[in-house]
Amino acid sequence: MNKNADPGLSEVVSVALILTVLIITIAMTALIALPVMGTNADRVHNGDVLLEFCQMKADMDTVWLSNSTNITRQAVFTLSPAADRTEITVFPNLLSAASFGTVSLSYGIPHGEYAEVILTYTSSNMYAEDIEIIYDGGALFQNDRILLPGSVSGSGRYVVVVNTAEVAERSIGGAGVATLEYRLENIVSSGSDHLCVFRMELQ
Amino acid sequence: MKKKTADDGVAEVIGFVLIIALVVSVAAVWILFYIPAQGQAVETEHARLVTEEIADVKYGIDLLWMNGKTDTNASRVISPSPVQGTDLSGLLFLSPPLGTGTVTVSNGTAFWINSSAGPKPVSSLKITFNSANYYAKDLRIVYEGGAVFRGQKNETQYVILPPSSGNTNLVLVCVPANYSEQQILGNIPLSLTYKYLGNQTYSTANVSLYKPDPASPWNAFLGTFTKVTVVEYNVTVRGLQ
Repeated sequence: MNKNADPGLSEVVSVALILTVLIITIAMTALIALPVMGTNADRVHNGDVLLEFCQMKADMDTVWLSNSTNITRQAVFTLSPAADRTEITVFPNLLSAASFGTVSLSYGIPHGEYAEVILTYTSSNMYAEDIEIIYDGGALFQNDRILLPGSVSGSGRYVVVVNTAEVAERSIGGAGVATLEYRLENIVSSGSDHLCVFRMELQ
Repeated sequence: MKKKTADDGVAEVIGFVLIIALVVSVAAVWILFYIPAQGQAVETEHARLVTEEIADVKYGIDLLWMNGKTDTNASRVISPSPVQGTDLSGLLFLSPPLGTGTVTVSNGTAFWINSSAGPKPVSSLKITFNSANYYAKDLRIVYEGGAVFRGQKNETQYVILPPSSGNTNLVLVCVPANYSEQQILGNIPLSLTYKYLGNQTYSTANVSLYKPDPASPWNAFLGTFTKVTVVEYNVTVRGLQ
């Protein structure tokens, strides 16, 4: 060793270098790995919410297809990736709670005292692209493109409607879970269309 | 320390190189073992999801003819591939690339229905899902005529859900004659729309395979029945419109 160096200098230098490596690793994680994992979690959650809506549409179709009235059923929607812990990641995604979403129940095309029910999910993702899922009276749209068409019988449609006097418009946002309770009241004919009157509540 | 011949700082450089070697070997083990294991787990979970979706399609199709909803259609979703993966797949910490899948709608196994009115051939409705996985073993699920099978084409297929049959009745889900085949390969959710066209009943009929095949899993479900109902469907598969 150089006889001019202070004793212990090489240890101090190595600590400084190790700290530098550590800082670079943390910076790379924060700038590259966390956003990529966040994008992944957001995309997986987008897909999961789409499947939740498809399942709800299929369950509602089952209810009016078998004319099963006066039984209350539930559909559950996860509003954000934080509420949707299905994937196993070794590194905890600390920023996944930053994304959230909104589910809203609103009225669509009116049919007298009834109106077609519109259930919308809008995401506010921190990393990945946003998704908008709309269930409109029986048909399912994703980002304004139709995924599942509504049911048609002969020349008339089967339309899922709510009684505007009994069911209020509602909107729920956040990072948790939203529950939709629905119950078939009866099926009413309107011209050639069949209106499936539901009672719904979003909470 | 050899104070006379070693250069200053050689020990630190060697130490640095060894540490870099350690980091690289940890990264190599990560890419070779963890990422494929994660990919296999996701693809296996997706196989379970698709099996459930095809079972739901069978349930939806049965619901229409059971409730006599002639000329009515309904639709369900099928997810051909898992939703995961990023643009930088394959690198450290990131998700593995995942495969796609193919959904095919065609006419499947044909049957002879021998009743007092004479022999009548019918073609069953066949909806096939074939996966193209990167890590897990490939999956093939077939909905045919009311039954759901699983297994590769040249393997013995095993029955997941049997057709609607009893001791005296049998229901076969069929398509009109000369049905054209549709096939979509993709990784976005697809919609399967099925429309119930109508039914035809045959009393005291014997149902057999159009082309006798001792290896076909249908042999266990065919025979002579008091009432055979053939329900006809029109099925389309498409992506986002």
